[in-house]
Amino acid sequence: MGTWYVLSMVAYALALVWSGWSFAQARPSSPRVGYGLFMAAFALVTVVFLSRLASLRGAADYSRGDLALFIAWLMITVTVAMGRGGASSPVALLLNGVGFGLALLAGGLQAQSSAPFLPAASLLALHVALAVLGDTAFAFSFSFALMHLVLEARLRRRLFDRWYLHLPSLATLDSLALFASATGAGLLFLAMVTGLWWGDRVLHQWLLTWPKFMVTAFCLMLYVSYLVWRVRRRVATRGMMVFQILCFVAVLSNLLFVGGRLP
Amino acid sequence: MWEDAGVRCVKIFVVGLSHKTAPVELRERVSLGEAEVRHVLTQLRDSRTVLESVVVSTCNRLEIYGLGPSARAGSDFALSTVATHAGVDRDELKRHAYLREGEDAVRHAMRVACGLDSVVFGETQILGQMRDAYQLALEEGATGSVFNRLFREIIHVGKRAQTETSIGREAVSVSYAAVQLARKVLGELRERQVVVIGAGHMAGLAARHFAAQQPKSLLIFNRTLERAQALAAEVGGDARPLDEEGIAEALIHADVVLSAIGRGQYVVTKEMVAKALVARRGRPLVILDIAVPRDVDPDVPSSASLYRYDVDDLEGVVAANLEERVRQEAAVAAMIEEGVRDFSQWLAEQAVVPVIAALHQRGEAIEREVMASLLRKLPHLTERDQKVIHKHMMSIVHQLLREPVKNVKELSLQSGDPTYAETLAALFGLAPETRHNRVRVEWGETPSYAADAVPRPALS
Repeated sequence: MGTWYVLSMVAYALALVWSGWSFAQARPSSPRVGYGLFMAAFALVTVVFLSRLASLRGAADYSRGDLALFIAWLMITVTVAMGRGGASSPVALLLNGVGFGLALLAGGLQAQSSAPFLPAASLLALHVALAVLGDTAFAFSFSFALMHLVLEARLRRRLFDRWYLHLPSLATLDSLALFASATGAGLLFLAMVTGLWWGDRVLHQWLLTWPKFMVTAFCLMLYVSYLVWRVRRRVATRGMMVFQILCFVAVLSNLLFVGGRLP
Repeated sequence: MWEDAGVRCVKIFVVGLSHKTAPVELRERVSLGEAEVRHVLTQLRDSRTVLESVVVSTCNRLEIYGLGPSARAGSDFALSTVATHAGVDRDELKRHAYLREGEDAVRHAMRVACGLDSVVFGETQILGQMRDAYQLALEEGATGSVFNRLFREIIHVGKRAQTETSIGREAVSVSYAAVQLARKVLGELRERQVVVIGAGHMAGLAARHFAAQQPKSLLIFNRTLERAQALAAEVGGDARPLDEEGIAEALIHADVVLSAIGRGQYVVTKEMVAKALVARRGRPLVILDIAVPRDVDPDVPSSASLYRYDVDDLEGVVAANLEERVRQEAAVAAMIEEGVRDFSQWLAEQAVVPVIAALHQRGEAIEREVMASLLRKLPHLTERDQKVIHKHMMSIVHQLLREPVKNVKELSLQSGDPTYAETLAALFGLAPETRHNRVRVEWGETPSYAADAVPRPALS
């Protein structure tokens, strides 16, 4: 990704630091500066992301780095869409904390990746799209769970600071996390089905014992457990949110340690 | 003040007193009702001392915004008028009054509209009061082009402060902070059941705030059922007599329970809460105890689904909200500076616009004369030929005037000096009426009343 990637990460880091610093100040700095930095980061990450897309021979050639970069790009897009005031809000801070981590991860993963070659098929492209969108939904769900924990801790400790003031309500965060998890689980399930089907048609075998499939199935099972737990209890608890975070750790582990291996 | 060139120099000023400069005894005496404000406006309008005026009268301030040849004379006249109406000694009024002029007066008006000068920092009611004051002045014919533009700008800045920042959004009363806290846990209260225990002042305030959230049900418990019924009728809820069974039952079904009795005896006991928590099976319950002494036993069992807060916690919320309001001051101050700049630019444009318009009219008149002469000499010209010639002649006029007009506009706006426009008018021999009988609003500040010597209270 080269110079553009480095530039985009510098801009992203500056935006994040500015936003966090402004949030911590007794008097906020000019929101225009923070928003401008986020716009710059957005523009640069978009350039990097589009250049990556342009270099792909097909959807199936995407790497784990591309996936991480896509999720980070979505996080910045959401921040930019939130407007000037939203850029220095705790929601943006937490979202972009996750986004920046993923963007850095993208650089590391990209450096390791060797260009894979898989027979291109529209079925595989569909599988890739579903998997990418599923992981994105999980990243958002993780961010909402993190916000839920932050706010819940403040309500318990009677700490009425700016995090308390600016985060959405526990009920809203719970609904968002639930929706994102359910969407992610649905997409991941469809991605697994299309992946298996592709294996049967191209490789003439069901990839049920392939480590990536098994770990992905485990991740899906974790999310389904969370969804069942949440639906049965009808309200969110701190334990559920911690479990959500563990679910995302499993997804990241799958991405980092298992996802790159080919069948 | 009249200048030789026939340009009438006037100043915007504000004279008044507020909670920062005058004691409540004086403020309540000079507080004017609508009829009195109308009368004062009429008197000011009929004088030659104040050309345009707006009177803002609230419980915490009385301010007269005026436009006149002399800020000192105008403010003296305005104060005398108010003193006569209120039956207050004029000198006493003057001792507590402040006077701001020019840019300082405009900035002050915008700060007032944004709630930065209010008792409760950032409160939003004042914007409506200023809007009403302007409306009243408009109806009385007490405003002209300058104040119409100025008050539109003031109201615009006030609205921006409310919509683009959270300066007036967060709760600054315990009763409203209770609603905010419940919403922080449960989100929108539309599908929630709310219980208010008590029907006194604080309970009434809280019930009204909860009713505004349109909950699914709102139950009012009180020892005197009639009072509960009266409050329930007002807020659209249901009344219940205060008994242990009723409260215990309500704790099982309600999502929010607010208590405000304070009779020194626990109304909500730990046993009641323990039983309710079992029956609720993890459904979140918010208990808000705003009574002193407390109504809710502080030893209620802790649970992941129970959020219990007392009046100290709610005061903590209020303090955090106030701090947040002060934090927003910088953003609002920037909006105010933008507003002052826009108004100042508009004022500067007013000096140039008539000259530019007259110049264009002169150009068009010359073009019409030349065209008529041409048609007399060349009668065979077709309609199309005439159109082409007209178009080209107008193009010459516009190209010739473009640079001088642009430069004069820029120089006048940058320097605020009207002589550029006057020189242009003289060079082109424009009609005297474009140069004379114009009003020029002077921009400057010379505070001179007693209360001005008092350092302005820090806003943060």
